[in-house]
This record gives sequence, C-alpha cells and structure tokens, in this order.
Amino acid sequence: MKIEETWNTQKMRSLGELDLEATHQKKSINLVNKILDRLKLERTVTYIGGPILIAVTLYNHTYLYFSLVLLYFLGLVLYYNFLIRKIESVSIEGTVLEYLKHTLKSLRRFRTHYLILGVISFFLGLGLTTELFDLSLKIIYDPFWIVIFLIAIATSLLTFYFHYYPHLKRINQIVRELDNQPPNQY
Amino acid sequence: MSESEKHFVRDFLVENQAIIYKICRAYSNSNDEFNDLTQEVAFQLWKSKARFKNKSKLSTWVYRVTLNVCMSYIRANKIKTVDISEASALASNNEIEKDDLDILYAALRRLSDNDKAIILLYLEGRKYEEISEIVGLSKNNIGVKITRIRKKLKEIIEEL
Repeated sequence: MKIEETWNTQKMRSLGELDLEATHQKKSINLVNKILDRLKLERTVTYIGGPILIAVTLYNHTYLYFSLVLLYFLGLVLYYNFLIRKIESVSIEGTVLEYLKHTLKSLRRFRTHYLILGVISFFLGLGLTTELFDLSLKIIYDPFWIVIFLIAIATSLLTFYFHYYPHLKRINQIVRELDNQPPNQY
Repeated sequence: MSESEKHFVRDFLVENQAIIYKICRAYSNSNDEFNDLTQEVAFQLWKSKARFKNKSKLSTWVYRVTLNVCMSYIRANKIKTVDISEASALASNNEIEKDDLDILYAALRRLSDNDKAIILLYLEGRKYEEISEIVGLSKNNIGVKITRIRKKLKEIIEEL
C-alpha cells in the first residue's frame, strides 16, 4: 500500500450539522477546563462557607478563632484566584509541546492543591472539635491525631490519583517522548 | 449568539472541517469519542477565534487547536487497539470506503499520540517548517522522526 496515495483518496467528509447553540453552551471536556471548573466550584463554596464561618465565630464571641478564620478565608481567596489565573493562562493555541507542558504543569499544581486541601480540612476539622490551646499539643503528643493527619492527606491525594493520575501519566509520557531529542538538534 | 456570528462560525467550521475530521478520526476509538472530539474542537476554535491574530497561518492555528484537543482528551478507558471492522464502523457515513484507507486509519491508531500527530501533518502535505511550528520541535528533528514513523507505520500495515 502506498501510504500517501491512500491518504489522498479520502473524500471530503462533512462533520454533519453542528448544533451551534448546543456547542456554545456545552461544558468543555478538556482536561484543563475540567480542572478550572472544579477550582471555580471550590472557590464559590469558599465564598459562601467562609463568611458563614466568620459570622459563627463572631456570634460566639470567639475572637481568636474569628481572626484565624478571617485570615484563613482571605488567604484561601487569594490562593484560589492565583491558582485559577495561572491555569487559565494555558493557551490551547500554543504548539503541541508547549500546550502539553502547560497542561502537565496544571495537573501538578492541582495535585499540590489536593495536598493543601488535605492539610486544610484536617486543621479545620481539628479546630472545630478542639480548644485552640490544645491544638498544637494534641498534634505533637497524641499519635491518634498524627494518624488522622496522615489519613486526611492520604485521602486527599488518593482522590487526585483516582481521578487524574492516568491523565498525568499519559501526558507526562507524551511530553517526555516529544522532549527526548538529540542535544544538537533542539 | 447573533445570527451573523452563527454564520461566521458555521462558515469557518465548514471551511476547516476536512482538517478536523481527519485528525479527530485518527484519534478516536469509537463514534462517541469522535463526536466528543469534533464538538470539543469546534468549541475551542470558537472560543479562541477572537484571539487569532494572523501571527501564524490559519491552517497552522486550526491544526494546533485540533491536535491539542485530541492529545489531551480524557478517555474513559485506556486506549484499546481498534480492529479494522471497528474502524470501518467509525468511518461509516452510509458509504463504502476503500479497505486500504480503513487499514491506514487502523494502523495510525496503533501509533503513539506523538507519532500520530507528526505523521498526520506529514500526510496532510504540511512542510517540515509548518509541522515544526505546530508541534514545537525543530525542523531537523521532524525530518528524522518522519522517516522513523513512516517505517513503523508500514510495519503495522503489513501486520494488519
């Protein structure tokens, strides 16, 4: 078979009638877009949950908690905005190598994000169930809390690996293969 | 979306449908995947059309977006090898296609995502310089890779 000749025997095919309204309104199935959707959802939850938690600490006159939760909330808002901006900067119009490298970087950032989420959810849970002064002592001296801490992080990372690891692995492999070039030619 | 915008998008997609069709077909393992990919390419081209600033050729830009969508596509399962009859089913448009073309597509699907991208651009008659602009590798490297991929593709075709 002559490859080029066979390729050129293809007749012009129509993609059919694309429903433009549906395409315009559909959710993207792209990996970067999915990560962004997820982060935006988490940011919205933070925007709603943060002020409620702040209001509860104010209502209970727990001013030390109030300051901590306020700081935590502001930090989280800044963090989400930074992360979303970074991932949004990935342009699908770049070269294949550039785009896949950016996608890989976004996936790695998202993995770190899951780690941070694990730590945050542990301290949030601990903060809600214990006295503040006991908190540091509990973590240092009580092996039970160390185990819980490790479980929180492991659960968070496992969630990431369950959903995203195959994509991380595949894209990593593609990038590695593309980048693997003789040194004098690249 | 205004009617004029709809017309523009429709015309633009029709103009570039041959590129979109061939690449999405080579990267699809089923009709569902093919539909997902073509819809996503249309969506991404549409979204980024306003950002196209003639820095590169229009075709270069369409190839880039289409390949980027296909190569980062989230597959439900691990890629499985598609046999020829499955490939024929995918191609089916109420029209009998040449066996050789089915075999070629089946062979293309067995290549790695990288090799597939480069050989598709080569088969499309793109020059090394343009392939280099699309993929992001040096021209020399593209030349070396094409020779190797063609050889590999021929071997796969013989196996089929």
